[in-house]
Amino acid sequence: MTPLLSLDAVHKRFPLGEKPGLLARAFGANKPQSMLHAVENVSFDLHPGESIGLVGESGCGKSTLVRLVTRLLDTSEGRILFNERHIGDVPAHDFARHAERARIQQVFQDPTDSLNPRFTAFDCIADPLRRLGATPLPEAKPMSAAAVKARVEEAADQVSLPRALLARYPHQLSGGQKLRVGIARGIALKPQLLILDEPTSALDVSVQAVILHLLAELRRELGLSYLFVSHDLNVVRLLCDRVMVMYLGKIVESGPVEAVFAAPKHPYTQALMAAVSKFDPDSGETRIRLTDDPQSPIDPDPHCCRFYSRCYKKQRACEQAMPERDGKSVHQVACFFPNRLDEAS
Amino acid sequence: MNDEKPLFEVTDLSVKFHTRLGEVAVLDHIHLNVGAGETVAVVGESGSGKSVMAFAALGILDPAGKVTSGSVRFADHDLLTLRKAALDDLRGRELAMIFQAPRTALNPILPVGRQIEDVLARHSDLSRSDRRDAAVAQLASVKITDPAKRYHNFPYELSGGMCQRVMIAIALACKPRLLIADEPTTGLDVTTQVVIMDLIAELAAANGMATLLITHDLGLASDYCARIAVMHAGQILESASARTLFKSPRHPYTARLFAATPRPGATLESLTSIPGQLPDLRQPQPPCRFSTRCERVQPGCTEPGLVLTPMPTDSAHLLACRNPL
Repeated sequence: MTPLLSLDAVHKRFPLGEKPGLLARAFGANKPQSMLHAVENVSFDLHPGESIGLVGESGCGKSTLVRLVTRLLDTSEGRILFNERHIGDVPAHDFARHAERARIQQVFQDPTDSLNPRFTAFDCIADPLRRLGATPLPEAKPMSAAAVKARVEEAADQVSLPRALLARYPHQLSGGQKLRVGIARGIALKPQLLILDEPTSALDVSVQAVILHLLAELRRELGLSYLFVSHDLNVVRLLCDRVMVMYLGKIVESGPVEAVFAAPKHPYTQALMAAVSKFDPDSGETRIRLTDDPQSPIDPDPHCCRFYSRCYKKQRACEQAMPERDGKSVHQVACFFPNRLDEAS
Repeated sequence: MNDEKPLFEVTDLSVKFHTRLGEVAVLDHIHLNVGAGETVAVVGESGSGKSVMAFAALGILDPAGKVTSGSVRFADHDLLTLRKAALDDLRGRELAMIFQAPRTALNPILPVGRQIEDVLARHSDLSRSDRRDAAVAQLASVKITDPAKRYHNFPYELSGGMCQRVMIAIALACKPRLLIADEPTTGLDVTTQVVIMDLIAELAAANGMATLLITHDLGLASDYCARIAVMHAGQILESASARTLFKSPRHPYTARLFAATPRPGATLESLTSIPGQLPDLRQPQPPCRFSTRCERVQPGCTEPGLVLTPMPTDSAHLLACRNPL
């Protein structure tokens, strides 16, 4: 099966500060410019209908990776294939008019901030249709007003947003309703890939449960693929087939949700799992704790594991070479000592 | 619960807010105890009145809010009738609070070390240089690396987890007997969250300090608190030891809350939402404010006189429900 989305050795580096001036360069002060390595050597395939969870702490590059996939940012290196077409080569500012734009849609993190306060719910959902919606090929004409209206109402029905609420402005809607508007906007163009960036983090548990059911249902009915960004591992486990754990720009572990949750191999994943509540006052398991702050992503040592400073089982080898995931197995881990669980103490 | 009087006791507390849209009954006859050295969690959805309860107890309620009934007792003091000077002596010294969102709660234009010193200047007779040493020691006690250097940092120079540690350092500077922690880890990464909660628990155990944790996270409450009180729309519906509450919740809302929370072992099918939404508190409310959302509602639920009462089988398990599970 050909993957819907395929990333191959994608890097994103942001230059920091000013470039050395002409004089500095002329006089031999050729200190290279500092680079912030936000995303480093990320490769993965997302198959049609599949849902991948992307987890990691804030600042690890999740959002940068999402922006690379949605083509809001240009890659520094590497290839992005969507439907076997190279979309990584299209400059970000041209991608807005690219044919694949409508196929990749996103539900943003904050349901309030991501809606235009001067648009009604109807206009929010209609906006992508008016900009990118087109009649089927070969005519490919812009959608008529009637067609837009019909599609908006259909999308509202799909997310169980009462049609009566379409005339309202965001401030007149509850958090759960605003999120439904955001999801309806995301699916209005009938995309193949929906990127969900922490969709439920701003909601109470009672509303969150409804939204999680809705997302699972939409995926089943519309055959969508999800890239689900979250910090809540319990939510990822419910909604995703596979999970990727990101740490300082690198995917340190990936695999089927059950496998990773049952036996996390990377020490960072283990710490993440240990931080998740077991919801059992009697569970007396010892917890792995991360002390210190993460290393700086600015000009990191290319020959040292990114997790080295916080790792509880670091060895000599870990600061002499960068561990990478092996490409063959289903459950991949970027660690030299993935199986030495019991030597934690 | 034993016979000696609890350290902190909220009795029959009601708070109303005057708004343009009428009077809002935010807290409805709240009862809550925290014993010396005990860890208690108040769990509820946003808007259920958890923070308002803490603000009312500390006398820092918004001017629009008025306490209409009840009392708050701390050790031998009635906090609601105490003179302001006496209250000022108490707050920050014996009674401390960690506020939500550390970045906004800290003073942005003062080095964090100075903010710790402020508390010491008010409540101790240490000299200037002693205060400074104490502030650095306090930063070290919350496991901030290189405290002497961090003393001079401004909040914007620190990460969210570090700011939270500073908040804890300020709250614990005078070794209070009760710490009220209002969503201390919201917005932090899960790995940082457990480190911060471990730190609070560790310092509480070392100083014999009681902790009142205000949170929306049932998992966090179960991991760190011995007793949990469940709050909904300004009412405490159930209160029991964490173990009892998790094994056999008796209030339909508590059971619903558990069923709606994704947790290990749960499947998407087993995850059920809570019907309806928080009631509009501007309208007159029935005695049980959950009754409009409750599937076990019966005619008797609309009769007045619903109070939080101990279960016959377990006097530490309090329940306010006429048709419990």
